[in-house]
Amino acid sequence: MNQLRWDPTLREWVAYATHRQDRTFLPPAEYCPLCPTKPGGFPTEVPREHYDIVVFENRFPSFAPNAPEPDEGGSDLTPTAPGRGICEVVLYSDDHDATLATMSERRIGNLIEVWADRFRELGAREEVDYVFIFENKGEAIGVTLHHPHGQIYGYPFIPPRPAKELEAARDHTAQNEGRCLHCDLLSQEHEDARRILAKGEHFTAFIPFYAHFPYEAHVYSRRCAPSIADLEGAERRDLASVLKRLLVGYDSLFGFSLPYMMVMHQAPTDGGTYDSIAHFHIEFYPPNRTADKLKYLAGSETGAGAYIMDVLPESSAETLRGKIESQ
Amino acid sequence: MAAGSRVMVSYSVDREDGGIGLERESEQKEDGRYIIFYTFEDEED
Repeated sequence: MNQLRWDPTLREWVAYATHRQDRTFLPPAEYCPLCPTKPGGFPTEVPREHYDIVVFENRFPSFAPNAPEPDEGGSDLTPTAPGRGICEVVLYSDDHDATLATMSERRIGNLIEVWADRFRELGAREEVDYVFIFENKGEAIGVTLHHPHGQIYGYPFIPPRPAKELEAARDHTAQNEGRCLHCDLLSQEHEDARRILAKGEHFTAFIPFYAHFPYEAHVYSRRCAPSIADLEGAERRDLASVLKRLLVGYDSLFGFSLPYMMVMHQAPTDGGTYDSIAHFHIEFYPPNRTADKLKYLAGSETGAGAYIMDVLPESSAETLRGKIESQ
Repeated sequence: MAAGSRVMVSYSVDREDGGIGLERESEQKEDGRYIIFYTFEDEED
């Protein structure tokens, strides 16, 4: 059952996918459903002995292409809708113990090509208004499978956070002679330099002036490219290089493989115009504030939407930059 | 596409822009879901 219910108090859709309660939860490594299927072994999601990068439809999707009209009709105040969309799983490697940080720059580059391909294909689907590429890593984030993988949601609407960001970007452009909000933010970060983590020829990683997590990092394209599919070959290679440096730095921060949420923000695929509005970038939200303490989204963050931070971005950037530069 | 059947779909990034050439092979699982195998022109480590 995939169903959307409208929350008129926040003006946003909530997706219900009750079949997800039964999804596989932290199986032992020998029963990983994302590993290749070995001769005589149990059949996994991938019916081959080896693979490079694989994409498949999620067995427990939050959105489905043929979701029926919901039985629950809702009301004018609280309407419902079918949870139509698409959910994919992206397997980064057939090596169960790998992580994005331990992979070669070349493999990360290959993965970027796959992400771009998926963006193009899913974005062309009628029911998909926003292609959201993301990775949840680590049990602290709530992952149910450890095998290196990410996910892609093809939403039938523009989700609230990107929508809010796009609205701010549109207002900024209108009020500043057509200038892109993200280009201006990146210029400010370059000028200040205290929060810069790593710079390549085409991409920059930094902790934003207004970070919501202690080690939140944003990776911005220097050029105002609306989506990952708009990046040139040299830009994609540089993105792989900057990501590799950032991820290795993350893992040396506390001496363990750092959990994080990684999300991509880019142009919606709803047929609208987003030139100088959407600016492709990746955001990382690691939950750790120290090696053994997590930043929880508690009362103020969840109930009021107001983040309270106990470390300044300049300070955490200095620490993380030191780890990156010492590699 | 019948369950278990295989369809080769070739796709390549424009090499002139420095992109990495890739090939994709799509299959359908028994339950109807698709799976896509990506391979690349360059060799993995």
